[in-house]
Amino acid sequence: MAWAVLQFPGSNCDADALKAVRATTSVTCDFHWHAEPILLGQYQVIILPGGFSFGDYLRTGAIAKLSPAVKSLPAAIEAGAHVLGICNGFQILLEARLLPGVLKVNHHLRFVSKNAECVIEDEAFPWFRLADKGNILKMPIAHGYGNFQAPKMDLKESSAVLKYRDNPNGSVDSIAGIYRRMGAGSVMGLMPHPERASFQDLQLNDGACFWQNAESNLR
Amino acid sequence: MNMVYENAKSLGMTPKEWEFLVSQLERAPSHEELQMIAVMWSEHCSYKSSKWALKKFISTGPQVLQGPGENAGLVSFDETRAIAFKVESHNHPSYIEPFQGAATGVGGILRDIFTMGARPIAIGNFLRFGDLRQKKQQFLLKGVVSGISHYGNCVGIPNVCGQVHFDSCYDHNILVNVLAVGLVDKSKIYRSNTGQAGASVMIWGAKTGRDGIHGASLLASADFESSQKSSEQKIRVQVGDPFKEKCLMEACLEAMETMQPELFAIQDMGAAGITCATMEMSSKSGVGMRFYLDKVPLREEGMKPFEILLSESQERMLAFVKKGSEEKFKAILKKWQCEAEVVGETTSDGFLKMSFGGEQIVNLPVQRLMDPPPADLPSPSEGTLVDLSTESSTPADVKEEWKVLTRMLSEPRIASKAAIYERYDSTVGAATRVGPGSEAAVLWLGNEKNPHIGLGIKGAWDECLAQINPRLAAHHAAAECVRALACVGAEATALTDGVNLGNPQNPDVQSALIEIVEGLNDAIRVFDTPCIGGNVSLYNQTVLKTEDGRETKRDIFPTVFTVMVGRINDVRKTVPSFFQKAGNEIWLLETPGNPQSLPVGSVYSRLFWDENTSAVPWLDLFAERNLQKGLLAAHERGLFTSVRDIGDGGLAVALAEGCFGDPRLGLEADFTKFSGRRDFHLFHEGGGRVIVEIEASRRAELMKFSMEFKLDCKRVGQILADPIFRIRPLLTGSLNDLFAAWRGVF
Repeated sequence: MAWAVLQFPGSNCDADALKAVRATTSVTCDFHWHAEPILLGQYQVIILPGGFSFGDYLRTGAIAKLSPAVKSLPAAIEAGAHVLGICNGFQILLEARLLPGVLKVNHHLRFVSKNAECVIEDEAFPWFRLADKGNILKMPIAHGYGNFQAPKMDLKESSAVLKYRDNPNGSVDSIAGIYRRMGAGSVMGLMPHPERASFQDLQLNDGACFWQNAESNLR
Repeated sequence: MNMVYENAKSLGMTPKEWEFLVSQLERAPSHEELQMIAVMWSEHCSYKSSKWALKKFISTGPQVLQGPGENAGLVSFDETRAIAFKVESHNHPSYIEPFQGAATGVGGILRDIFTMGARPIAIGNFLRFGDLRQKKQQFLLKGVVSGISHYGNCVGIPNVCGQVHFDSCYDHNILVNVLAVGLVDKSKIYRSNTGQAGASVMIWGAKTGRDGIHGASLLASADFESSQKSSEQKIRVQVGDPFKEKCLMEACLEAMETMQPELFAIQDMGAAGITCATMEMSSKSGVGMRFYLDKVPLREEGMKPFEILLSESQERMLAFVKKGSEEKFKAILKKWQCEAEVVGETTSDGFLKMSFGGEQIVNLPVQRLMDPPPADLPSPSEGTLVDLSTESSTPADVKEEWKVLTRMLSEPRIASKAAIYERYDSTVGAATRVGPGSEAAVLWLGNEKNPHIGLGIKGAWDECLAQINPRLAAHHAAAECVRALACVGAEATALTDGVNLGNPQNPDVQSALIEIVEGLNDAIRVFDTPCIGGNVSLYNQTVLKTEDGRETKRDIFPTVFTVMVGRINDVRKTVPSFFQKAGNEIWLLETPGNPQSLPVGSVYSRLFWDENTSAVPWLDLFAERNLQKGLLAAHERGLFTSVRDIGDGGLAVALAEGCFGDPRLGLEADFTKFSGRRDFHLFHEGGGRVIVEIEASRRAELMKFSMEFKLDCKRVGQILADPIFRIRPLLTGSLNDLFAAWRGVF
């Protein structure tokens, strides 16, 4: 079944995500425009890319969550779709209350762009297997609002599957990504950019495991 | 109401220009016409004080697909693709309002790139501030960096390279120059000169407001400190919306991709807005135009025709499209939340006719009015070459080497700029193989045909050298670009320049301009890197207080950001610029025959010597050409494990910086066999030298290699597995201390 990368006006990592998936897997993957609702069973994997959807006006992700595509996500997930929100995509998933918590402005109040090392803390079907636990992934981060905060209670229904080794933004418990199962599908959000770390030619290849794991686990 | 000379004078026109205008029109201009011509003939739009020199640039070659004259130059990249690149200045707006000034600087240059049909793939920032100890300069630095970060990150173009220096000559006139690089399919290049009569004229993008009126003529073209109050100037600074820019960019690229036969010509609206875009597109395409000002989508009510004509509202384009296809274009623009309106049509009579409320208010014979009459310029002054032999006294050699090295590493020009470039998204696009903080940026641009091909990008300038000898400074800048590109395996292929000078009425400024053009031409002849376009910013001056309290103006040091790009056949062969492995050897590779023995014209000499000992170090362009060839061959052969250009701070600084990539490594260097002055070996700059890391087993291969390319090579030392930095017999200490000095400035 096909994969999709959602496209909002202002998304700017959409092409990168498509490039990464196509370079590392043999799945069919295309853009899906935000104004079109997602049909049940239309996609197996849905990626919400990074960027500044709708200019991040009002609040990051606040306008994108009202788009027909995002409004149709819960039903698609219940029916078996696996959703991955990266950076701005993570912010949209939080605004849509598909994951718990908020992303506040970085504790140093500045945009930060560099490579960050993250540890896989738990399995997260279809992205991480149990055997991946403890693996370290080096991926770029590039965000102004990546300071993840959530009450512990909230985090019970989800798990912090990815943590920074060297906390770059003040996130609680160094959390870089969270994950929850939902019906027959799942939702994952993370601030680092695996799609920018999926290529041998960049000497930055640790993110390729996301796409390759999902392809083999969903076969 | 017919205009008289007094009206023209208030807009900055000279009597000669007024007479020329009236003679071309054979009548007095209308108010709107005068406003339009005044801005078109301003320095910013007409280049009237610099054109004579810029025309001398060597700008042709088989690799050049578009030279100066379009929105950006184009150079061939591979069989099917070309690179568009250009630098643009936004100096005066950024001094008045650093955040918006710098942000819209990014926006403007990005539009220049995607107007050519190219997708922007990288930006770079070339900045100059005054003395950083002043609060005002820290405020300006913070604002400019925030503005570039805000705009570039949001549009999603990686910021991969740059240069920032500090000198009190920029105290009242900072420089903000932004580079943009784009990639275009050779069969889908767009230009502004391909219009034809009978097409519809459309405005795409944002609505037109009152922002930026007279930005080009007043902010960018006059000596702006004195004439206007800064509150008045502030409203002339444009306001940018990067989200609108991103949408406009995607809309334009989609229209260009899918509607190529129906989109005849396109130009971005930058300085002087509708005025400049309509006049330039008409004249370049050789067509006339009927333009209905009432049809322009407006942001504010009650705008007067001249305000619509001069507005520099950002994120707008002017396009000539096929009659009947307008709705198809509107649909694409609407999808991306942009305005698209038909505002006129092209005609065959060569006249630009504009109406408002049914009344014709502009009727200009465009071709005859594009160039102002030649400006009255002073003759360039005689260049003053500083002769090394005239040095009054030889400064004493360096003492307390460790302390001096630590001081050098914390000099703002040398210190780590990570705190600046980590504010810029440098990896969006998933193509950045080497980002900021290295010798040259490397983008991986592989496609099916050339899966590992890449592009190197490097810009450089040293204004301290240019103040002494502009021509040699141009040699140094060009050689630094070529050398840094060769370090990453890129052969420099073309050049663009961002000229920033003082008042063109000053003979020294005219002299610096022609000397720099000729200096870059010298380098272009040796390296085969034609100049494919550039940008000029004049009237950059700073205010000095004299002892009796009066204010005088001083021109900034000549500052000409020189940027080159080059192709890399296989980016996998690009080696890092930081030391990699304990046990590996470090060697110095240099062009032979350097006649000098003093570190003149260096950061060291400026910090520790009297001012009157300044001079520009010697450089041999032909020897640099050999070094370039050698570095490219070594890249192909995989001879080096890492390679680093010796730049600001000389060999000692380069060796220390080489260790900063890995906190576990150190260096044991041995200078005991080096004869001559210690300061020369430690801190001499001057180009023509790199340090290379090799595995000890490849020593013989390195010897053979250096003979082959006529390069001198000397063993410097060995990488240690401890963070110790030792240069026998001069200095030794902890690398952590050096790192802290280097990293702790910004």
